[in-house]
Amino acid sequence: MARRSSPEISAGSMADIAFLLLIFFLVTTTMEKEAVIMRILPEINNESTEEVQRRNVIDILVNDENKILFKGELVLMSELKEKLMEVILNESDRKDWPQNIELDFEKLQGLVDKAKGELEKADQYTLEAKESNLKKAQLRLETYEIFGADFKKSAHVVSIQSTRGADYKTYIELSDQVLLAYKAMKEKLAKKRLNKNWSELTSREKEMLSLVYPTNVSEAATVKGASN
Amino acid sequence: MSRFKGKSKKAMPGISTASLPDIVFMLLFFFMVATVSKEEDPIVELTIPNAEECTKIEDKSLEAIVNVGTPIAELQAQYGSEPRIQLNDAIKDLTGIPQFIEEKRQEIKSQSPDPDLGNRLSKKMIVSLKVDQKSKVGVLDDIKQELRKMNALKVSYVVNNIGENY
Repeated sequence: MARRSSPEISAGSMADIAFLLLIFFLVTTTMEKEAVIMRILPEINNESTEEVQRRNVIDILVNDENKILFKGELVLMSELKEKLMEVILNESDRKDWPQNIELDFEKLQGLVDKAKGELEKADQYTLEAKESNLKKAQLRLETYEIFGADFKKSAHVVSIQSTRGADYKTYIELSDQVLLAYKAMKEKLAKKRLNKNWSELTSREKEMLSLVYPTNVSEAATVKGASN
Repeated sequence: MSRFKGKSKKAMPGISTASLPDIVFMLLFFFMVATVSKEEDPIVELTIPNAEECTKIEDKSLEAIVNVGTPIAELQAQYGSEPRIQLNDAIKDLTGIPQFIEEKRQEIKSQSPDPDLGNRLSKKMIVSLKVDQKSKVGVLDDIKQELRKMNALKVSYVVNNIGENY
């Protein structure tokens, strides 16, 4: 048995192997993320616990013929956005449209102070939650400083309902229009107070605008209480 | 001038390819890390509706995908041409949803070694509904009702983004 030094393994084909793997991963890769519309379903057993005043519920219904009923009146898809904006903002302060609750500086400042106090008392388990609470309160205060009287708390709930026979396509189009209405409101306010277009806004400013007009869409808001 | 002349007479040395595997491996690792393998092929017809104002799901590992649509041509003899629900890679009835959700929750939990964190993650699960645009809302309603029973309340409708930005 003669001892031979083992021949060196050629690494020339290494590149080929790596290329093969590379191409495999290139093909199976999906880099772009899926676009979605997020929704939180109502809990199944609290149908009677959450009471919303009648005036604050904005009903939108799609029927089997894909016709849209907005607060009981027939509208076109193209009209929906404007109408919804008008009702949510309720600038004329109509009593049958959603209520806007005025905020005041002292109250928001009080919430910040309270959150600070709680953070000092927090233990390691609750620290994270308390910190984010404080951040939220501070952001709210800052938003008030910038947007002033435009920052009201709207009590509205947009309730999107549909009959079983309606087309899914119409339903999604409708959901989209509702979200577009929110965006248009934010854009309008950004123009008015910050004098900026949407693309010029910083992420913090967008966050603030979302505080001013929080998306409040429900799959099925239960209407209780007769107070008008 | 003569100095340059002298140089140009030399033969061009071949470029060493020894570092080529390294470069390719680097690319390979990048794609391996960035990859999310394509989910199983849908066995129902799926034309996703368009929408302008949409968001994206940050963490795909928290996503449970439910496809709804008419079965593809080869399966229509077996399942009919009404919109059906596809879970994983089989066509199921509504009764299959609780088990599907439970399995997905376990899967998310097992991703993390810390059971506490796993529990929290599984609560963040999002059920992505990929529904064919020709379907009726009734099918969707039934699914949502099942999801509510399972307390899986975060849902998302997958759409085709036609807006300019997220």
